[in-house]
Amino acid sequence: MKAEIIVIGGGHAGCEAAAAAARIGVKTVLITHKFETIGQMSCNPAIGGVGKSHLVKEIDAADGIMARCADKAAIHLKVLNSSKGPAVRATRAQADRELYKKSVQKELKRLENLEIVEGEVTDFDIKNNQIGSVTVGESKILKAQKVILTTGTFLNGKLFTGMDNNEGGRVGDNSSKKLAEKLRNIDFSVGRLKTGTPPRIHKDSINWEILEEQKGDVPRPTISFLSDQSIHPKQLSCFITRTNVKTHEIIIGDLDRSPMFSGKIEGVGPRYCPSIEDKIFRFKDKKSHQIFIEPEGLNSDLIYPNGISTSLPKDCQEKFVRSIEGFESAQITQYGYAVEYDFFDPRELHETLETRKIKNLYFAGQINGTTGYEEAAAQGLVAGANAALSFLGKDPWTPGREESYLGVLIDDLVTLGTKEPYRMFTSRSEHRLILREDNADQRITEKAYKAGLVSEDRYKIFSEKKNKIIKEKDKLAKLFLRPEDEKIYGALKIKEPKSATSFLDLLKRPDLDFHDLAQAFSIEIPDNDIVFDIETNQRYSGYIKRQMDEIEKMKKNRNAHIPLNFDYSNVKGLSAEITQKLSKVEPKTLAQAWRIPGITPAAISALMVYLKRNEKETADKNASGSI
Amino acid sequence: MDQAIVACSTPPGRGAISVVRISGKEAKSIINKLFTLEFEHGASRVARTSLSDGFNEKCLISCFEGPSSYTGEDVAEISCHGNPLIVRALIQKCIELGARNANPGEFTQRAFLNNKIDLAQSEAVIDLINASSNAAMVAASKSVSGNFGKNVDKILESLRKIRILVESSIDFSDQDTNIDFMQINALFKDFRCLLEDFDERIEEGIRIMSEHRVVVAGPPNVGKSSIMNILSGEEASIVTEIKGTTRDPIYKKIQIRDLQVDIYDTAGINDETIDEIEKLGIDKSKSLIEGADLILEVVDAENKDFSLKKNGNILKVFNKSDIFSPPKEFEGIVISALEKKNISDLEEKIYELLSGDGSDALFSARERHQNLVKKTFLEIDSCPSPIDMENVDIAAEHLRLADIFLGDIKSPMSADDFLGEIFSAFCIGK
Repeated sequence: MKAEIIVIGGGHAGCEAAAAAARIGVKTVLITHKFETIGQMSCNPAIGGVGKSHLVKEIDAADGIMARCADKAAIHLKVLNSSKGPAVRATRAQADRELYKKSVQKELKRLENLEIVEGEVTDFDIKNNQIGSVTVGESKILKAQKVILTTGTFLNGKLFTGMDNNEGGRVGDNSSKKLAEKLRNIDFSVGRLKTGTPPRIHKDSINWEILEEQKGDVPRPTISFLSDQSIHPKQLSCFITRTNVKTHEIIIGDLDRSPMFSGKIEGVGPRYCPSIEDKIFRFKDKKSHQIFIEPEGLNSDLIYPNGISTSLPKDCQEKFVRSIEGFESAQITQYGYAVEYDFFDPRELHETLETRKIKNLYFAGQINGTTGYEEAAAQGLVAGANAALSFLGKDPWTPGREESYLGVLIDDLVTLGTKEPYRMFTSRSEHRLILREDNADQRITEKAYKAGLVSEDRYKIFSEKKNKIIKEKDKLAKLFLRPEDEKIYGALKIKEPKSATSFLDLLKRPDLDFHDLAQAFSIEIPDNDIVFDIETNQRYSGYIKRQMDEIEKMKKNRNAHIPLNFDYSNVKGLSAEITQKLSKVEPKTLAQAWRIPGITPAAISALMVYLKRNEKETADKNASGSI
Repeated sequence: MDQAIVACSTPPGRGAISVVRISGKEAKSIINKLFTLEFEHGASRVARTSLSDGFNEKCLISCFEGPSSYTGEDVAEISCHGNPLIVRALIQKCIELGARNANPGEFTQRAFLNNKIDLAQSEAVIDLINASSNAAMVAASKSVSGNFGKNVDKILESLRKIRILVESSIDFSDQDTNIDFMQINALFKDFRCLLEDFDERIEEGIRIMSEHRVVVAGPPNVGKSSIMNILSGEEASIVTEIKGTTRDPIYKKIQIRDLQVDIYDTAGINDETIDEIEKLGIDKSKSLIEGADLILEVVDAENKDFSLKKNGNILKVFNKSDIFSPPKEFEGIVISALEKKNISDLEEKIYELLSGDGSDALFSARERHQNLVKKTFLEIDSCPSPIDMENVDIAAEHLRLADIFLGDIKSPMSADDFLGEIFSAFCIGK
């Protein structure tokens, strides 16, 4: 067996990384404990949501696997924020766990350059700060040029239910203890994080009659740009119930038996996804919390009660669950638990996700302090692509934060680091009106194609859409409403225009949409995605132009390049603390330096002055040299 | 810590004392070697140093150890006799011992770079130095101590309350957060009120920092120049009985109680003149009148009906009361420049009209602040209102930008020339 790239871990980061490297055409081996757990959704059975769906669509635009697998497994689809502007709309799919896993496994199997190996990686061979091979099991040594580590919560993973705890990365799976020990020895900065899951309940033990039903959207949205509705399996509903005063009393009464409140867990949990005991403790005034009841799959007997993740003891879980409306005689088939695990400070990574300390070693996913399938997959894509590109001696592919949420994610991680599990939100982006779900392909596909990630088929479809948009826009820019066209503006119920106004400009008016206009002008209506693209870009055109100008300005002013191995002690006016911080993170640009916590505006100004002066001196020298 | 910088912190020239200031890593050793004195934080000591053959200067040395000093570095302030030769010699000694000449504003720049003060505070330091009235000094010192910053924080906090709700309505729409748009719009109103109020305060803060300009105007030969001379206590203007003696405006700095005033004598307004040079002088007078904070409109019995026909801050002065009394209906101050009668009433009235209610200013401010508030207003005014589900994505964008502009008041992220501008407004030593 020959491998140029080894991916360790078969979760969402590992799968996307392996697939990306193989798509670029480099021999890749994926090593996982068990083949059958590849593509497992360990937490809630849903993909997408605000911010997250933006990532999934970008992965899809680079021909990644997550979106199309999600479509094949989607048993309930919804567009969130559908009544809000297009920039913040987000698709979410409830996924059948089995179908999702199976389609991921199928996707990986069909990749020519990818081989999957079962086993536990127990050791690395690192010489001169460079990785050379990994050991699988007791003694099997696999050589590789690049290694991508995507071990999720498995590094030093500890599971907590009540005051009991066990080692493990997920219920029923061992943690990777040997690897964790090895990594701790390499002097990476390690932190502890935690996450949790709710108890799973048998669906026949729920009183469905009294619960509020939530149906999926009609028409159904798709996640992948290339999918259509016919790919979706049978659709199911979700249901909603709520905790009540009694539930809260039970939980408060048992708080001292919670590992989190008794101090047994040191890791920091996500503030935006707290356990039910956290929620009740922190928001004492709130008398009730919503529980979203998600089906686990078409053939599954289980439901996932989203909103009551907990690590309380088993008897307490029984009691509080049964106090909830609809759950009166609930049968818990698997108790909720908290997982505490190691993560490495992502500020020790390059933008390619290669570690700064060990050459050719890449980290992706929860190991970098993120949470969520989508965040993990996004990093997998970037790590896998860059490992392959680097092996081939090609330029890296590092999407910027001004063009993608992939860029926001990675820039935030390598520049800011994280103190809690990092999740994507649209508010993390400064360019929300540009970084939309609907234009992810326009933003990503071209560059990803150049990196070798995108199949010819997809590229062809993308190019056709792009050309259609250009053609249609050209046409609409030349289609005018003139003061004499009384019939048209009469039909649109608008005032006579003062001068000739193009169809395209008319779209900027909030009271007119494409369909009204097309009817009034009696022109043919193009495909829905073309209409949506043109309409949305016109609606936001003022803002897009402004953000683009801002990006340009920022690039000019702030993207002043900081040379590699820059000696910060030369800069006048930087405190020792700031010098140390900058030296640790090694920002590539002034903009990155600016976003490091604790870096003061004064420090940035000092740095800016220094860089500019340096630049000028160099330029002067070069100028005088050329005379 | 950086290489020590040294400069004279008091104005150049002769005086009772001058202060030479040193800041930086060599400050300790310089004091040590110069005065054979231990550098001790918070201590003021008298010691001698030899500056030239046979000349020993007795100085008072105050030491402040970093970071508890103005610049955040080790600082020493040496008070010596106010003779430029002594100051120069002292600075020369410091340089020989490892310091270098400070650039304009470098002490404050270091305080800023070492995070001792924010940008608004460093601007306030300049304002404090340039303050020309007690009220301005009070306002600037409030800004130096962070009062201005606190006001900015308060407004930012109010804005962020809205942003938190708006952003949550977008990012957490699938959770039962129940964002209330009525509340968002109510907060938006509150924020706008706060911002308006702040804008007014800034206006006041700018006004109080500006120079006070008083223009003496009126028809020819009513005694304008005499009034100017009496107020300034000098023969600045030539006084004759010939109409149109004053052609070029003359100005003088005068002090009325704690107020520093620039007073301008102007050519008499005589629309009938045919003298080209006098005409030019009259034009200049008119433009000065336009920019005045206070106009002393001087008349006498012969010209009792004269009026500049201007609105604004005008004080009518009837001169030559030694010859004729003013008409009964005259409202203003009646004086005799010749006999120096009622001059203190005139000064009192000028003081009253100029100082206004300025002593209430909460802080000093400058145009940069006003411009940023203007930009913030622009965002707030183009933000859709009322904010609702459909426009919340666009509202969020305006609010984000408003936050950036307001935030820039205290910690701007901009080009170095801008910073350079701020620091070059300092004179050496501050």
